[in-house]
Amino acid sequence: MSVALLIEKIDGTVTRDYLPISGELSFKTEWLPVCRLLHLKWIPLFQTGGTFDENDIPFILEELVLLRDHFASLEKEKIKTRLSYLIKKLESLKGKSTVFFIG
Amino acid sequence: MRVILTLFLAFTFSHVHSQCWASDLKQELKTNKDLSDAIKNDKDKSLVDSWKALYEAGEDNLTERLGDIKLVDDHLTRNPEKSAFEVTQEIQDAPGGFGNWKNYDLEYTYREVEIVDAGGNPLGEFDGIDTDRKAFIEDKSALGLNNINPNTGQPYQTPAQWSKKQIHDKTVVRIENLNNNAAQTRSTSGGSSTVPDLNEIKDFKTLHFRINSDDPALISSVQQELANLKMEYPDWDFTVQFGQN
Repeated sequence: MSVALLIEKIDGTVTRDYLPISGELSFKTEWLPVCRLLHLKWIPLFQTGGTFDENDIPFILEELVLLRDHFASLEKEKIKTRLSYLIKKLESLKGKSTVFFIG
Repeated sequence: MRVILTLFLAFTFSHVHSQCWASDLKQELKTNKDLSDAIKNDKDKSLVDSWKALYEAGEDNLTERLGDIKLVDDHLTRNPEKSAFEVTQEIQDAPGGFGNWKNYDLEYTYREVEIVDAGGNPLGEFDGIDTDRKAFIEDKSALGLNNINPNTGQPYQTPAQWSKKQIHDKTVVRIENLNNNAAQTRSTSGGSSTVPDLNEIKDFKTLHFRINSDDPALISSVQQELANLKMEYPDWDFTVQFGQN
């Protein structure tokens, strides 16, 4: 089902904030090879999907920035833009109690 | 002598067996108006063969299963080199069997079609669209379902939790976005270079999942979520196939 961010709770309030991240095919053929190249361990989990919370955000953000910079260097603008949306969204959750699903 | 006896027994059995299915089909046609109508209306098709194949394969409750008879018939039409019995067994042996066979043969007219709002913000994405069959296709990997969270050392989720998020919750958001917020479509970096106009796909009501796992617990929980979706969106058709992606 393509890969997307689904924010379920922010500071105890239930939400359904949704952000598409990548199609399944692009994730498999474009994202994952770069993740392997950069030895990333969090982002590959998005393919199957998982539930995360505020404690995971710094680790995920660190990898997302590496990935975004890599795709920027390859002039992959569409993927870079998707990553920028996701980084911005996760940064907005910093300091909050949150539960979100990425997958 | 032994050969003659064997031939005699084989003939007797097949004759009796053939009479048995023919007699049961005759009875079935008397009571099953849907089936008799379907056969009348599809004279050039092989619904009788399909019924017979299901019968011989030991499937029961055939009176209630005109849809499955048609699945065999459709599959047979697309694979004329196979027998009705072969295609029935193929469907039976697929993960989830008949319940998960419908729409397995959709094709990707387009890959990765994004929908965006009036401001160009991404709202959702479909892994595939079959424009001939008016269907959306969703590929999903579930092979890492037992992945461990690096922070907690625990699995991220159970099959039921995965199905709730991946099958139910995300679908609800995307249907709502498609119905209420989408303004146009857009191509993605890895998808088809051209994509259909939003107006071409907005009224599609079939969503087919392709999940590359045949874990029984996953099959069961996905089926449950599809039933939940069907209750919430009765005019949509939600189908799934497992073990292939």
